[in-house]
Amino acid sequence: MARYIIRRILQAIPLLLVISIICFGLIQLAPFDVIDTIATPDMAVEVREALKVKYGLDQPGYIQYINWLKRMVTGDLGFSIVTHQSVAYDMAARLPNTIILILPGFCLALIISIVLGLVAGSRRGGRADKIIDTLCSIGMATPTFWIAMMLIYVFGYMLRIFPILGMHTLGQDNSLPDLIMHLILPTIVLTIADLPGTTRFVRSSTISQYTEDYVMVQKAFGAGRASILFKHVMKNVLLPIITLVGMSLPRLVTGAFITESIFSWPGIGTYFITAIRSFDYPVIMSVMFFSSVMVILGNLLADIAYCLVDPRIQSMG
Amino acid sequence: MKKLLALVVALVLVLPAAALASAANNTFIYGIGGDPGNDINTISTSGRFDLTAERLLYSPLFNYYGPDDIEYRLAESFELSEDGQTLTVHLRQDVVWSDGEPFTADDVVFTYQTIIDTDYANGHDAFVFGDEKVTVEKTDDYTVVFQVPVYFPALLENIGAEHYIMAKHIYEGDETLDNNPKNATPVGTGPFVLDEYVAGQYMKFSANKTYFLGEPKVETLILQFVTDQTSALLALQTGEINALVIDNTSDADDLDVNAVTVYAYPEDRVGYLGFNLSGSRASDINLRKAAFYAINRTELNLGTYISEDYYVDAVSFLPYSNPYVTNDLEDYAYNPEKSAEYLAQVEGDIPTLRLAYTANNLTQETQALIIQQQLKAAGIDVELKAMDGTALTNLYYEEHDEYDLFIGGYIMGIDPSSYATLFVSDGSANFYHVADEELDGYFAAADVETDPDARLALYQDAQRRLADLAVQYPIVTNLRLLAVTNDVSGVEDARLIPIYTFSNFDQLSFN
Repeated sequence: MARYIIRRILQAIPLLLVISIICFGLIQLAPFDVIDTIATPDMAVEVREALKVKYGLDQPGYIQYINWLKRMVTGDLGFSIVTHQSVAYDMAARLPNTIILILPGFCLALIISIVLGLVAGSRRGGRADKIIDTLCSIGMATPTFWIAMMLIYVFGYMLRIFPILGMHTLGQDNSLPDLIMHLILPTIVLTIADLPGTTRFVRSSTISQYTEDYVMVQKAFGAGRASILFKHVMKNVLLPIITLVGMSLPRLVTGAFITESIFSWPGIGTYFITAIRSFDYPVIMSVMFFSSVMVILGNLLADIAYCLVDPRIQSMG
Repeated sequence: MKKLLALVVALVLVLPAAALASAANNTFIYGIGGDPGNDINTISTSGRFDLTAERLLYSPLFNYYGPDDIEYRLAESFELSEDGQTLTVHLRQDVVWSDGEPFTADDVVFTYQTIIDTDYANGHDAFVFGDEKVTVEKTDDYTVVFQVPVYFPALLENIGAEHYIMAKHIYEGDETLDNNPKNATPVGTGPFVLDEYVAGQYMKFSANKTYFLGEPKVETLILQFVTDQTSALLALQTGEINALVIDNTSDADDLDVNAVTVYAYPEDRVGYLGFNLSGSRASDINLRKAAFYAINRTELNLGTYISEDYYVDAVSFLPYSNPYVTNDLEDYAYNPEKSAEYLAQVEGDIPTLRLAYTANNLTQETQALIIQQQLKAAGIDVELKAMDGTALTNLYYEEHDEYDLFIGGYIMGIDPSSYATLFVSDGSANFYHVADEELDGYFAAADVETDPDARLALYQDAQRRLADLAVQYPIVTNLRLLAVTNDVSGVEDARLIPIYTFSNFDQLSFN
């Protein structure tokens, strides 16, 4: 197992290099750079050129890449060219916020969708299935920003139950109740956003499990509906969920841009998008790098979890 | 289960009180659309929000709003020599840095010398004239003399505007001023001092108790970073924030007047429609004049800005508030007959014109659509070309055939000499690619003219000449809208200005 993990990690290194080259190359393909995005008409051409020299943007693309890589290898993420702020500092400040935002919504959506998916799948074609399916369709067809705006309008503006902006009321940075109050609306939004897809995934997985022989055997032995569903079917349905969870790991780094943006949540999502808009390559490359690491790590963890949970896979080697 | 239910009910009842007991009064929260970062320095900080933070922390020698409108800050007075090349500045003697050190002429010399020596510093080019540079020296602890190698009409504006004094005892000997760890704990002479910066969330300032103009009235001032305008507008009406700039004028009329007041103020920005003369299709002046006469400015501006309260028609390249502006020029008032006359004089077929504007910019999109319809009615077909903002700006500088018309805007200085770069043949921001000897001549002559009346006449001739060339159709000087909660007072005293929003944040207070 250890050899397998080491092999996978070593395989990831060239993959990360390729991803970083593609990402850097795409930034270079644009006909302008970060200095152009912050330049104003009253900024003299000489000043623009001086700024480009200062940030090494006058160098050929491959030299800029090598310089970035050298810094990256030594653990130096560099500075944002737009705000001059340390990227490591900015990411360290925002990463926990994004995790606080994403994790509750994701877990809640996962638990609810497993229950709904199992119920819908086990009662295929029944009333419960139809209701759940309809709700999922509505959920999928409703844009996240609309749900967020409606929640803000009703609960934030009209009823004034929840605050609208940020993750803390000023002066209450260490207050857990205050954080929870700020977290409730965005968590509802993220739960609603995640719910339909995962529910349908669990539902179809449940339906396919019901066609398996072991279900028929259980039925023949006279096992009850609930017993079949929760003791046998659920275990098998949960296996592919591991992949789903693994694949979702990068979201902890990339954030949820729309929700973060509407609630002015100080996470990675808004940070990343602002950087992309201004071609702030030290920020883009750092977020990209960590999200790639999380994709690879997520897949690796999912594979390991598979082996641990399902002895059949382990025996297959 | 019952316990769980009780807990949920308790949370719902108790938490709102905890969360909505927003910061006590005397905390002014200004919602801004970006995170300035915690690297504010007076040399290379740029961008609207960074400069706002800079103004809270540091002070300039004086704020220059026009020859007769100067607010003295670190300077007590100044004298300008008759030849306009020597400026002697007398400094206040009662100023201390926020760390308690006294402020002296050494700080002023250090700041300006750094700008002169640093080629990427803000405004560096205004201190360099070919091989010669402005010199800055102290004659005693509270007197500084600036010596300019040539006559430079915008000297006062350049010394005063956007140059904030930094502390020599903090930064002396440092290799770099941006990415400098000391920027995170700024020592300034501004009305506020930085308490805390939380990345992505806010910058928290407290009143500088030693501020030389008196302690600010609000104890705490927060720049809260908001990323979505719609939710921020709702937060403003619930009192979660106290002030916010409104991006779209249509939102201003929807606000609850019992909760907020909207202030409309000029940023001296001129919005215009320009012709790109470097392409082949706009070279005929008759076509350009036919297009200009076909535009109904009133209809265009009302359609874009909804109410006359939010804009002023522009007819010159200078904003209406500029002391050098003239209305005695060809303003291209809507005249379909004249448009038809000029169109008839166009040689050959009427080409389809391509109009470029910034994509996802609601104002420009509306303007483009209205202009397209108005020109179509006059017999000129227009193809719209929405472009990424930076891509479009970059294209401005190049000679090309990609578009014939473009929608743009600028905020320049107060002295009209700063506009020359937009219109003279070798101007670095001559996006029209206009090259006219007569126009160049007016700007060149005005640059060295020391007689105020003659200078005024030259700039008015330049405005008339540019209008006659029909390369720029000034559309509007739009007003910036700032919404402030009704419990805040002193907005007029704080004075609304371009870029920074408030000239004097220390004048804001609560009822």
